[in-house]
Parts: sequence; structure tokens; C-alpha cells
Amino acid sequence: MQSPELALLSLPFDVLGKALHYLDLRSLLVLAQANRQFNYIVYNTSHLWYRLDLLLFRRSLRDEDFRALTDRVAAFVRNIDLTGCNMVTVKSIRRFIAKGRLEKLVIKGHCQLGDISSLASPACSRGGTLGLTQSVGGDQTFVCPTVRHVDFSHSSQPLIDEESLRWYAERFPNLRWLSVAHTPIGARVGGTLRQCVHLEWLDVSGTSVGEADDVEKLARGCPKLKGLVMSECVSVDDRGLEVLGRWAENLETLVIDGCRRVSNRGVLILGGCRQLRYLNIRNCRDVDPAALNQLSQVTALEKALGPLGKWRFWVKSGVPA
Amino acid sequence: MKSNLVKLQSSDGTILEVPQEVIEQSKLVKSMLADCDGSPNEGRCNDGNLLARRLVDHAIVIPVPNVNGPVLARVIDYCKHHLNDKEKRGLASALRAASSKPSDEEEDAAIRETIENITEWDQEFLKVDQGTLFDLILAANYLDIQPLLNSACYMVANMMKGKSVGEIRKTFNVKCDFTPEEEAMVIADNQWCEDI
Repeated sequence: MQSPELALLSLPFDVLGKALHYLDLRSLLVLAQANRQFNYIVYNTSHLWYRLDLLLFRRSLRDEDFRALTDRVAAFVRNIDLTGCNMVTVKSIRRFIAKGRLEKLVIKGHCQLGDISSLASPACSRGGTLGLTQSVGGDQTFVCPTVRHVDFSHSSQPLIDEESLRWYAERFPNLRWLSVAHTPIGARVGGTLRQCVHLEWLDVSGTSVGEADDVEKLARGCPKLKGLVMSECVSVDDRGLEVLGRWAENLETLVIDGCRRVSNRGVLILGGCRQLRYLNIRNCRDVDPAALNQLSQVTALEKALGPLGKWRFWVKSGVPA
Repeated sequence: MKSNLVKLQSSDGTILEVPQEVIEQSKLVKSMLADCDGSPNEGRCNDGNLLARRLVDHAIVIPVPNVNGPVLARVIDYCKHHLNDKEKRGLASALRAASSKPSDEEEDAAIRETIENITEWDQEFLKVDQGTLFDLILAANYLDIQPLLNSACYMVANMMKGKSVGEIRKTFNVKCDFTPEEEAMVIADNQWCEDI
């Protein structure tokens, strides 16, 4: 029945899509250059683009490449990893966000183009100087309700700073997981993140976040918060922990290692967080390891890393009433 | 009922006899047989479809109109070899369900599972010329034999991996049908994936 030389492209579209699923991004893009039909299949098979990991191409992906890619596949992408893609400008990243149905956005260590001008082509540095608070396609007010997970750790301006954080918070109302560790977000995030009421996990390590009134805004604004990581946040003190004890009733994980202003009083007052299971207070030199025992009696605490870097474990039969 | 022989008729009229449990790896045949089971012996499926007929001797002839004899025979060889895989795979997928991974990893897991499930025997089995491989894919797609379809698709992907544009064209015998302007654009658009 079939002609003797049955060709690849005569296979059904969905079957070809299945085969292409096993290809890496590079092979896929080579295939797209073979002829029109391959080009069409590669760029119109949505499941090939659910995860777009560009880490491998971080040194070659120029801003205009990313923009061309955005036009073709942004609508399909659910997870994108742009870590190290420093030639891609923040404007293009935001353009991508506006076009897509993103769920997970990872851009670690993104730094300003000026810092790596030797690497960037002329076209890129031109893009890099564009105003970053500018609107995307003239639309300032779009929201991305699908975005759940964002990791900006170790990135710097203009991708992330106080102003940008506000921009993201406004647009990602359903955000569950956010890392802005080691980024220049300033000391005040509580008021901004109040807009992300579903936030469950926040990492602000290495930032100046931690003043009591700001932590209060955060804890009251994000009542679902289960995990809070504040390693080396020097502003954290007993008053900050006091408001956590009062308001963060769903908190299960708290990491405050290296927060040297924390004392016994602060740790004990965390007893208000009944759900607390894991606490890390390494290098909090003013805390007496015995305070952890007291804390474990009033909370669900199962595991803790003590001030001297020693692990402690407790066996719990259930969450105290 | 397990030892029933099912007769399959290929596009070129060859009739092949296969034990029911072997060919039930084809979900299409399986559902056809299930459809026929409840019907009386007068020779029609429940849905009145003439695809499957019960003969006087209670054997069943299922026409497979778009698969030719040699390819159908190969598909049956595959099913015979994988007859006892079912329990294994059932267990594996049960384990996977129990571990309940986050949804964005499910896809990766499915791919990994397919690749893990390809045995040396499968690789030998699929070491055939392109035409036969594509015929097998069409057959597996029509008969709905997912493991064979997945393995064969993986083999096709392997033929595409790591090649240059020219090599792809040569391997799959396709001609560049872009206009010169289009081709220049396509190449410029994808330059970044070449010079990592």
C-alpha cells in the first residue's frame, strides 16, 4: 500500500512530534532549518517548548535571538531558565513574561550589561540601555496569573531591585515560591509582597530585609507563608521574630543563620509559630542551645540546626493543639 | 479464552494467526475484541462495524488495512517478545504513581522511562532501513502499541541528534524549499545554537 520509499515527513504530525520530544534544543533548532515542513513542525508542536532551558546557550544567546524566539514559542513555554543569559535584556525578559503562560521563571545571577560589555555585541548594549520601567508593548497592566515559581537569586539591577520587585509582585498575583536571595531589593519588601497573598516560600538571604515592621507587613500580607529563609540578613533581630511568632501561624521552616542580633528571647517567642518544624539558627551566637528544647515543646519542631552548627532532632507524635 | 487465536489480515491480504494475549498489546485490537465479545456469532461488532468478524469456527479476522504483511509480521514478533513485559511495566508505573512527583517533572520521567525500557533486543529489532522503521511507526500508531511507537520514535530522534542541517537533509532526503531570503533569515535566527 505504502510507496516503497516512505518518507519521514509523511508520518502523521503528532507522531513526528513524539519523535521530536526526545531531541535536545540544539538538534531541534537545526532541524527547523532543514526545510519548511520541519520548520513548521518544530515551531508549532507546543509540548516541545514546555520547558525552555537556555543555560547551555548563555554565552551565545543574544537579545535579538531571544526576542525572535519569544515571538515564535513564548505562548507555549511553562518553565524557562535564563540563568547566565546576560545578553538578554530585562526588557526582553519582561516582553517574554507578557506573552507567555509561564509557571516557573528562573534567572539566577543576571547582571547588568554594562558589567560584561566586552561580551555583549553592539546590538545588545543598545538594548541594554533602554528604559527598564518602560511599558511592555504599551501595556502596563497585564497580569500573569499562571506564574508560581520565580528564582532571581544572585541577580542584580536592573532585573531585580526594589522597583522591579514591585513590578513582578503586581503581575504575579498567584506567586507561591520566590527567591530574591543576594539581590539588591532593599530593606522593605513586606509592603510590596503583600500583593502576593498566596506566597508560601520566600528566600531573602543576604539582603537587608528583616526590620520588625517590615516583617510584620510580610507575615500579615502573606498568611500562607510556610518557609522563610533569611540567612545572613543582618537586620533580623528579636523584634522581627516576635512579629513572626504573632502573625506567621503557618510557618514551617525558618532559616535565620548568621542573624547575629537574635537572642534567646527571640527564639523563645517563636513559640507562636505552632507549625514550625525546622529552624536553622546557626551562628546566632547569643542563643543558648537549650532554648531550642523549650521551643520544641510548644511547636511542631522536629529538626533544628543549633547556634554552634549542631543538629538537634525531636520525635513528635502530632502537632500540639 | 486466553488461548484464542486471532487472525489478522494485512493490507496485501496475508492472514496471520496470533494468540489473543499476544496481540492484545495492541489497544486497538484489544478494544475491538472487547466489542465483539458480547455480540452473538452472526458476524458483526456491537457498533455494526465490519472491521472485525466472528467466523463460524469462532476465530476472529481483523483487517489491518494500512499495514502490509512483512511489517505486520514484524509487529507480531515484537508483541511476542514483549508478551511478559506487562506486569513489569504495571509495577513500575504503580511505583511512579506512588512517589507522586511534581507535575513539571512527570514529562521528563515519562521520557526517561521510555528510554530505560528500550532493551538491546529492541535496538536490534529496530535496526532496519528508514522505510521499514517508518512503516513500523505507522503500524504501531494505527494498532496503538505505545511501547513500540515510543521506541521507534526514539530511534528516529537518534537519527536527528547532533547532525548539521546538511546532514539532516541528506539523511531524510528532504530538499531545502526556503527562498534564499527565508533561508538567510532562518540561519540568522538560529545562529546562537551553533556557537555555544
